[in-house]
Amino acid sequence: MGIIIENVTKTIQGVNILNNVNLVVNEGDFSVLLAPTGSGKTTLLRIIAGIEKPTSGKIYFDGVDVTNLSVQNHNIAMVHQQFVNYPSYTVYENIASPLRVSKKKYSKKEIDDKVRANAKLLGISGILDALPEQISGGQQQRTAIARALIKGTKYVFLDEPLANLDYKLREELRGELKLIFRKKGGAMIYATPEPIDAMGMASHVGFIYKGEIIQYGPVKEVYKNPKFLEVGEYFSNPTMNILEGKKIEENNRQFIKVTNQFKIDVSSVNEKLVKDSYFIGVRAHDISMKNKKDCFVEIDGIVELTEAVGSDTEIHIEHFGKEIIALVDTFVSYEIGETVKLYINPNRFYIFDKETHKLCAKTGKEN
Amino acid sequence: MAIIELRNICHAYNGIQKNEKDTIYAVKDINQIYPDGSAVALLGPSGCGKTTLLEIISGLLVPTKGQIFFDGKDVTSLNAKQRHIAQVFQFPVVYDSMNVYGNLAFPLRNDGVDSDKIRERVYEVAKYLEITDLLKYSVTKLTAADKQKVSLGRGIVRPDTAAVLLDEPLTVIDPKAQWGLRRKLKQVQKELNITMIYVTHDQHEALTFAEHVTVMDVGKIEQTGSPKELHENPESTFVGYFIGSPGMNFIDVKVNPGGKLDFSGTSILIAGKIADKLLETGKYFTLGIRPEYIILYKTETESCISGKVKIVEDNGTYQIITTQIGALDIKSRAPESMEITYGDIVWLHLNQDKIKFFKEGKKFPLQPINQKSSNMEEY
Amino acid sequence: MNYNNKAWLLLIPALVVMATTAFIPLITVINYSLHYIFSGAIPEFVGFSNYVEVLRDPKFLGTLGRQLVFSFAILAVEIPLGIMIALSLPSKGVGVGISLVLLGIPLLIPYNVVGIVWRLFSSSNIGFIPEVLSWIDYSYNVSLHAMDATITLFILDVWHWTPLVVLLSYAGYQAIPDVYFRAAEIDGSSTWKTFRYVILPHLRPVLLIAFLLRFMDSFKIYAEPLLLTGGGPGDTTTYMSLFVARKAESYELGYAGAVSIIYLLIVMIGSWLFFQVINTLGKGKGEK
Repeated sequence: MGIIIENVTKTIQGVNILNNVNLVVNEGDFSVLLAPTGSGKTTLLRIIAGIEKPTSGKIYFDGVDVTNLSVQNHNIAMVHQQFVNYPSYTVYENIASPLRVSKKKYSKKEIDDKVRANAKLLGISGILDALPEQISGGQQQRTAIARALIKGTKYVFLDEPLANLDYKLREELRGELKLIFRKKGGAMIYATPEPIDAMGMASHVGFIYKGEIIQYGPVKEVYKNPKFLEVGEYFSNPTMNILEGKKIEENNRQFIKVTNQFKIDVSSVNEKLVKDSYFIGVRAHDISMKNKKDCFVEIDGIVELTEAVGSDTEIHIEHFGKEIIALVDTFVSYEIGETVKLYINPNRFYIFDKETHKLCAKTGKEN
Repeated sequence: MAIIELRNICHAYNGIQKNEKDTIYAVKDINQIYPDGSAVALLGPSGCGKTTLLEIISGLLVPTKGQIFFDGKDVTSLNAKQRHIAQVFQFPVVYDSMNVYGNLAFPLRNDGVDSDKIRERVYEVAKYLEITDLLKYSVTKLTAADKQKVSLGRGIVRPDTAAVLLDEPLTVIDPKAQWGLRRKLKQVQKELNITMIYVTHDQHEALTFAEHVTVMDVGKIEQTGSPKELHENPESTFVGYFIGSPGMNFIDVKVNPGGKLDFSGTSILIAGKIADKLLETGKYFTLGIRPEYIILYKTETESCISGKVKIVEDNGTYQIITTQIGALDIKSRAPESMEITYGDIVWLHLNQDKIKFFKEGKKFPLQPINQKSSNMEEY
Repeated sequence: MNYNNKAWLLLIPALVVMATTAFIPLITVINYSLHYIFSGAIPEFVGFSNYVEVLRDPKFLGTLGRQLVFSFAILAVEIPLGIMIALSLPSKGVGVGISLVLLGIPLLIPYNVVGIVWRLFSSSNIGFIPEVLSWIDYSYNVSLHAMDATITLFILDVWHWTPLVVLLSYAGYQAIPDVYFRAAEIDGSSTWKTFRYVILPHLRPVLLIAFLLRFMDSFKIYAEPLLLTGGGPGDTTTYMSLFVARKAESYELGYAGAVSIIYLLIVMIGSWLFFQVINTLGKGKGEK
């Protein structure tokens, strides 16, 4: 059982926001809809939840066509980006509210038990008597999540619920949401522009591009085998380095050449590469600042910026006019303008077709 | 350009109450010196007082107690203009009815500067910010990132600007445009050697931008230092928790003579000398260690503690594993290639050299024994 | 989509009300304007000849001219005055409530009561206006001097309606985020410059509403001149509404209908023009 989205299209004022979207989310899946802001993921989520109707297409919950069902008849829960809590209700009342207005009647004790259980799950048992304006943003969002979970609906939808929270809170809630989902079961669909949300929490990820889901699958699978350049580039933390290169032959071996220094041996996959030039992609953590066993293609570069990212460092480098990002998993710092050497792992490259942006080949065996 | 000094700054929005205990301070006992041309960040969670402090530095708020000095001169009673402070706000503040040129020229026109000089200066600033092409456009047509650049430009267009204060300026900027703006801010700061004070709750922004990072919590300064210092030598558990993603692990331990540390139904062994030093003060301490200094093994290994995997998170480069040991959750890293799932039993080895001790939230100083030098040589 | 249909059903009461109070009368008036009607006689279709007659009638043109001058004068005074008062009101504390209530009082008084009250003020026997003006040797007489009548009417309207502009501007002004003023302060802006570059651009939508409302309302002015002067002396304070009403009262329904429609068109075109002008004014002036 699960959710099936069939050929959903949404047109607003002549513009196709969503174009023939097909998706299957099974029970037990934590699916993330990943796309930059404005790509239609919120619209898709709202359509799946029943808040908006598609221009055409159908939605099935457990085999039942729910496309035209009114919102109240959809038994689902939704958490929004702006934590919406009733300002005149205490946290307790806010969490209890869905039970009070539901068609099914709950006894006072049942409500009390459920509210306390969900509050405990979200770590807000201590603020049950507070009003929303008295508590912090993170606590308000947890209240909203508790309110969404209390009916115990099978399907829960979340629209960037962590977007308005402090960085640290986001980090913590990511882990908590994963735990909550595991305890709760059912299925969750989560829309976000942050790849790290998908990587950290989800079992499945779907990437939306120009109104279509161009790839959907288990997280590890999509990560290792992006079908399109857009997926590979975006579903990376930081974004994948994409460079243009020409196919050349040297000493009976075939290479893709980006610059005189930067050449990647593609002999092993040469039969898949029929064109003259390609886009190649490599992730930042496959570029090292030290000559290592795997990372040995050496190139020069000038540091543009070093950015602290959690406990790691992103180093933005310019190499003959091209921008490359390397990720080092400790804390380091370079001066802007410093000359450095980069060491690239040639067995971690993705090769994409320049016109179709499809993945043609990957260097390296173990992928 | 100015050296900024804060002396004994305290601020209570509702004023000092008769009973000192009833006074609610937004910021308390702030003492700081920022050298000329420094990149400073005020970092802390929402409500820690960093915005209040920024407003006190800018002159928009007069502190209940304490003084501010710019280059040795007491400016506490002067307003923002008189202090020559420029400010960039959370959302871009631009004059909608003027074009980009007009916006940048506005402060200089108000000062009665010659229009030729204005032209020269505006073009100079536009070049720094890489917005020369946009000068003739109305600001309403710009992206949020470019509008912020214009805001910043207005701040630096006057040659006598003492400092530029930025209040979470990337808040409404599209994620893709953020790094470009961050880079521009850092570049401008370095090139013009102008003091910039950057308020944020995001440690990335703070640690990337600043040389001096001031970490704040509930109105007090927890620690000021370079990003490296904060990372390697947190003065309090708050700093240890706040810096780093994820932050430090904290374990409450009981110290025994000989170096055995008990906690949560298990124990580890540390150097006897360190244990003796700790025992001089007491038996109970908080042990802190960063996730990156814990090695995870899937099979039984000696000198390890063991527990069950509770959460596995992948961030693309490595995995963050939360292991449950008794009632404790400990986070550590594991390589991408390691196959781990919820429920696995694993063994964690804590790097002795990277263990820090805290008592009542504050760092417990130990003489460095076998202290390795900077991490930069290790990776 | 059956739930969408329910939404339309909810509109029906509003549509019924609008039909009876607006659409049907409008169609009726257009109908009148195309016929020659004279009490009791059978209406005769005359096409646009009523309109031609109206547009050639010096009385009509005189009234229209008078009305335009009046309305523009109203706008020229009430809008700036309203803004100035709004900017000088306190923004917090007890003063806010008190000021807003005091300002609201003129708005609450029914139009005809306003007219009567000012007639008393200006009455030759008991009014205080003639009395006070006699101290400076000015013999004021609303029924005899056109100037006195017009100016009194003008001041009446300013007194009555400026508070509307004040309230709208006040709301708009308070809504301006504080940061803009701080930025202007930091940039060394003068009071006038802050007004011109921060306040005015932000007030644009509010001012648009104020302009449109005052323009349309002043064009319709009826009860006040009727009660103050009866349209006199002569027809010097007979404005468009009164003119149409009088024509209709004397059963020249065709003519009156034509005037009504022309009147409607003028107000619509005028409003559209204001809208365009105010919108374009905001679109970033070049300054190079």
